[in-house]
Amino acid sequence: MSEYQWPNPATRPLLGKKISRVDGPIKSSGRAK
Amino acid sequence: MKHEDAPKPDQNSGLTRRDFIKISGVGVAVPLAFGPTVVRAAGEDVEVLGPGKAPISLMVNGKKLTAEFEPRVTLLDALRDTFNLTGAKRVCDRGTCGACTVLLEGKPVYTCMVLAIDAQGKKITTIEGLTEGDALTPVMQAFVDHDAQQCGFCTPGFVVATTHFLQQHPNPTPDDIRRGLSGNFCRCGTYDGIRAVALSKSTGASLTGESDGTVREGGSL
Repeated sequence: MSEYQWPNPATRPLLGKKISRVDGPIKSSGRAK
Repeated sequence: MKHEDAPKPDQNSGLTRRDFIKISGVGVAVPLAFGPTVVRAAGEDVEVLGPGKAPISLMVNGKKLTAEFEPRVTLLDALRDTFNLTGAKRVCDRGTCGACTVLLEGKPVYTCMVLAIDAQGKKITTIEGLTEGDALTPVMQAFVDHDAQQCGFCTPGFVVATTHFLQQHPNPTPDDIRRGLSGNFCRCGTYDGIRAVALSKSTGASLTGESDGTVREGGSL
């Protein structure tokens, strides 16, 4: 079984990336119901 | 028995028992229905309202809002259920968690612990009043940038409390933040992010809201 190679961190689309919550603004502004 | 056969009232008294009851009832009901009851309390004449609904005017976010409430209605219920200002959340409803925090005369209060009738004539600022439209205040944006929220129920209360805290303490220490925001609970446990918000928005920090998300020395509870 071949050893899995993780992609280069610089090219990973999600892992290790800072991703803001999509509902962050409406929650922090009190517009979320 | 015919009506004509009914016993006649004593013509000498001029007042039947039925008339007496009618007059007594009117005499009691009219002041209750049309005149406010005023009692003497703590050296002042206090108008007694209720138990039914009474007209109440609130100054919320610079606007005068009027509705009829029973005197038992809390400010939180008035804001949410009548005026559709749902930024303040009802979570514990017993003055513990701080999710319903608004500014009353510039001071943070739990609206679940304030009667709407007691908030008359006072300046009320809800989280909706901190900004206009879809724009976020720097503190709100910092809550997003620092991921200082999860389920979001406590977030509006924290934003109001943090905004007021930073106005009062422009350059707080981590201990100041710990004490100053101790009136609000986050059951998701986002305290690290919330403290990072307060630290990032202090006078000595960058106001851009950019951060690596870490809390400085002493910043963890």
